[in-house]
Formats: sequence, structure tokens, C-alpha cells
Amino acid sequence: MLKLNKISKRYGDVWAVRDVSLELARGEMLVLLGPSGSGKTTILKTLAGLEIPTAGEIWVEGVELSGVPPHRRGLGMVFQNYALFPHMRVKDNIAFPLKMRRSWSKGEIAAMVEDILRIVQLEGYGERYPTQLSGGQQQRVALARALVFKPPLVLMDEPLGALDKKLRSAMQLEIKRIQTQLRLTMVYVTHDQEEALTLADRIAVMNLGRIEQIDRPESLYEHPRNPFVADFIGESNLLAANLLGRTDSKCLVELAGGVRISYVAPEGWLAGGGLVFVVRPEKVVIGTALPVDTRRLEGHIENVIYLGETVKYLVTVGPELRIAVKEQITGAKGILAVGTAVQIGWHDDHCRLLPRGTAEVAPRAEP
Amino acid sequence: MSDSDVGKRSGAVCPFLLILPALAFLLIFYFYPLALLIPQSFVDKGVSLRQFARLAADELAVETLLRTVETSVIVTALTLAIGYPVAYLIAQVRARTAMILMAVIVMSFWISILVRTYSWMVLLQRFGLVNQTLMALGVLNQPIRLMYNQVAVSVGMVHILLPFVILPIYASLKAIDSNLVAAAVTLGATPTQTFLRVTLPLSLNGVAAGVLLVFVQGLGFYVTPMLLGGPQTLMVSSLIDRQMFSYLDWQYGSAISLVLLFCTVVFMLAFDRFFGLETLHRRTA
Repeated sequence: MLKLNKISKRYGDVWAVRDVSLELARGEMLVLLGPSGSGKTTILKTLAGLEIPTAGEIWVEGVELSGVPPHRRGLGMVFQNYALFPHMRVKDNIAFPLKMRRSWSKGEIAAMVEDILRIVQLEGYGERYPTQLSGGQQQRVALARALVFKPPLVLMDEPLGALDKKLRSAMQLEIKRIQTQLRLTMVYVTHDQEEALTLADRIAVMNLGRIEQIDRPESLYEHPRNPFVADFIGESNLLAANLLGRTDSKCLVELAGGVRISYVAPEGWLAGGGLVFVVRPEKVVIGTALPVDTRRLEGHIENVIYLGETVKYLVTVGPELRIAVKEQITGAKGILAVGTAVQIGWHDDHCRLLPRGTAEVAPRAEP
Repeated sequence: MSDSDVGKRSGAVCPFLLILPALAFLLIFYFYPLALLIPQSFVDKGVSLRQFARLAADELAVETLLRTVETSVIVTALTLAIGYPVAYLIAQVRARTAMILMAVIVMSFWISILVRTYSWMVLLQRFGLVNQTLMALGVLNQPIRLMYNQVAVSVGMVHILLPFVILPIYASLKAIDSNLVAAAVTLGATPTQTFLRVTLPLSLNGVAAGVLLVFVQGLGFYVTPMLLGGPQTLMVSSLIDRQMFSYLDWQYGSAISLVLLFCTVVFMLAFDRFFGLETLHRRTA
């Protein structure tokens, strides 16, 4: 349905997007996730025709879009600040793309507008001006306007960026509902990993103009291919590591400050130095007396952060190694105090030993 | 007094204190003379409307008033037609280029109206640049009269008043969120449709401001019509000048001034009513 073939975009000396290729099936929702400046919005704009790629091809339903001006591409786009026309009523905003196409009568247009207003649950708001609506309602209008002409592909550029957290979660579910209901093919840009995990069929994690990894949300979370992905999706302890030696099944890894742990031997060959040992805080168990088989390291609690449903401990293991631990607050077990001597452990399946890769790895000391 | 008290007081009182000098200036040098005009035009051995009756019967004065309004309308239309594309261009180009173009336009304010009007005289006179060029090109055999008519007056006024439409239109175009244009395009609007349905309607408040500035100034324009125009193109400001300083008929002059002022105020009120509502709801956008 959608195919990007080696899309690149250069501004002056800077490559905003470099050799990005991907494919999208009909009805699929792809989220482009990355920090600001990672090129995700540029990709969206080249799809919409608002930017012309320096190199590469874009195919939508078997048509190459290079020479097609944006107003003939027929793709729906939702902008971050809604971009509603302030001088038009809601129904005129939504009718705008229909009127531009001149293929429908007035009556048909009115009926189509009513239909889409029902889908986004804004019946009765047609006569209002955008400024008379709340942020969430404006977002629904923007969505309705991008969907009303039934585009084969819908592009969304951080559409919920301006909303508060509660409303954002509600709108995420709303967008997912509409996307499923209308079987929309969608490319959605965000820098919010929670939003990406909520919405996406697949997520493309972007960094410095390239796709670091493109995969289903659970695969990305459980099997990040490099430290950047591990760090960007969810939280991770990224610990600088050296491989000291290995047998067929086990290896010995040295962490900062000479702390040594054993780990399952990684598949394939990894260089001895410059590795990253990745373990997610919620996968680390903590206690004053862990069973012997799960116990890995000993340390002290340096800091305790209460987060409501969870508590986060920062554990110092030796002078140079700090590991973040996240634990559900269940009530069965109290919250440990700062300074407590603790043991921490994890299951080897929940850790990854990765090459440092393209991304900078800053061992995250602070929680 | 604590710091927060100072902050509070200055917040409430200062805006009024700040406009006080300007207000005082206007009261003394503008409203006071204006206030003198009113009794002058009504008083004639007791209160009377004699001067206004005289004006209504004075064919020359009525004709001059109508011509003044007509010239202002023509000049406003021309400045708009020339100024809008210029403002649009400046709003489109890169910031550096825009700054240079803007400087060129603002620079024209530095040159006195008198000088700019004289330069039009140099261009338009019998053996001026325009006539000489046309003759050299063989278009004309002998010079034609370009000055002392409504065309010359309009050309001079358009030149001088142009910045007053360009600046507000530019400001309103710049205020349009560029995403709106991008949105219109992705929704299927051609460049022309985008302009007519999005850009133009959203810049109308700038157009309104420009029209207001040019039209009102045009009604009272003095120097340029005086120098470039002739007896057939007398404008109301010259008529007032003539009544007061040539015929020393201050009462009649004041009456004509009041009628001009009345026209201006009526126009402004009508305008405010018409465009004020429009801009009001847009300001909240």
C-alpha cells in the first residue's frame, strides 16, 4: 500500500533523513517515534508533498509520487496545532476538502460532513467556529477534516502534542477506535513512547535521520536491537560493559568499577570492549535477603523515589555503578529506606548485551 | 513599601501615566483648535446654519467634496492593487530579503512628501522624463500634458500612500499560521484556491486597516494635489485653505472643514462596524 524506497532529505550540509525504506500494509498503523530532529516529521512532509526528498521514491497504491504536487496526492494530514481555518465554521472546515474536489453536490457534502461528525462524536457542533471549541474538540475536527474525503493514507504529525495528559490518553484511544473502525492506513509521528506503544501496529524508532529499528511494540520493548532503542522505548539501565571471557554457554561480563557478573553467552561474536549491558528497572528484583539462585549483586539504596503505583530505587553497587530498580507497591512489602543494604538480581532472559552501536550511551545515573 | 507593592501599583497606574504626555499634546495642539472650529462655523450673529446652507448651494464646494471622495476611492483602490502583491511577496521571501525590501519601503518615509511630489513634477512636466522618453521612442510627436489633472494627482498620492497599505497587509499575512496553507494544500486546494479561500480572507483585517489609513488620509491630502493638480482637480483641503487664507472667510472655511471631518468620522464608524466585528472574532484565534 505504502512503500518508501531509500528516501533521503538534505538541508544544506545536514541530512535530515538518510536512506529510509519501509513498507506499510493496508489498514496498518505505523508510528514514527524519535526525539526531535530525528527526521520523523520530515518523512511525513515528504509523504504529503510539502517537502521534496533529495533522493528516493514514494509509492502509494502502486503510484510513484515524486512528480505529484501535494494537492493532487489526496492524502489526509493532521497537523500538530490542528491548523483549522479560523474563519470557517466547523462544518465548512470539514467540507473544505470535499469542495476542493468538486465531485459532490451540496446535499452529498452536507451528508458526508454529518457522517464524519458522528464518527468523531461532534454532532451538533457544525455551526461553531474552531475558537469556540476545546483543544480536544478542535483535534477531532482536524481529524474529521482529514478523513472526510476517505484518503487512502492518513498522516498525523504529533496531533496530540498540545493536549494535557488525561485528554491525550483519551484521544489516543479515540484515534485507535476510529482507525480500527474505518480500517485506516496511518502514519503517525510522535516523540511520546507511551503514545507509540498505545497506538501502533508497528513502531519505527528514528534517530539522526535513520530508522534504528522497526518492529511490533512488544518486540521493540523486549528485544531492542541497540542501546538507543532500549533507552528510548521504556526505561533501561544502560551499563558500560566488557566481555572478559566466554565458554559455550556462559560468559563473564565486567561492569563499571570492576563489578563482575556472569551472563548467558551472547549469540554470535561480540568484541571484548565497548559493550552495553541492558536491563530494565522493572525486571530487577530487590530485597534484603533474596534467594541464592536469583541473587546477583549487593549494594546500598542511595535514593528512593515514590511514584504512586511504583517505587524507584537507585542502588549503588560499588563506587562507580548505579542501577535503577522499579517495583510495584503492593502493600505486602514495605518501601525500603535510603541506606538499606540490599541484594539485587535478574533473570538472564530479561537482559541484553549489545554493541554500543550508533547512539551515544550515557550511563543514566539519575532516575 | 515592599517590592510587591511597587509592582502592583506600577501595573495598575503606569499605562495611564505613560499615555499622559501624548494625551496632553493632542489635547492642546489638536482637540483645542478643532474645538474652535465648531463655534466658528455655527456662530453668525447668534447660532445659525447659514454657512452650511451656503455650502449646500455652492456648486464648486459640493463638486470639490465629491471629487475629493472620488480621488480617495481611486487612490485607495490603486494602492491596494499595487500594495497587496508587494506585501504578499515580502511575506513569502526569506527573512533577509524581506528585511531589505521592508527597509526600502520604510525608507520612503524618510523623504519629505514635498520632495517626493516635486520629483513627480520633474518626471511629468512638459519636457520631463516621461515625455522625453515617449518622444525618443517615437510614441509621441510632441509632449502631452501629464500634469495638472486627476491622473497626476492620483499617481503622486498612490506613491506616497503605498506604505500605509503594504505595512498592515504584510503584518496580517505574516500572522497567518503557515500550517494553514500547508493544510489547505494537503486537503486538495490548488495554489489559487488556497489563496482565495485561506490566505486572502485571513489577511482581510490588514486590507481593512490599509484601506482605512489610505482613504482617510486621502480625504485630507493637501500638498500633492496642490502641486500636481490644477484648477480642475481642486481638492477639499485646498478649498479650505483658499477660503481661510485667500478670502479670509474663516467661518465658511470652518464649515467646510467640519463637513470633511463629518465625512471622515462617518466613514470610520461605518468601517469599524463592518470590519470591527470580523476582526474581533479573529483576534481570539
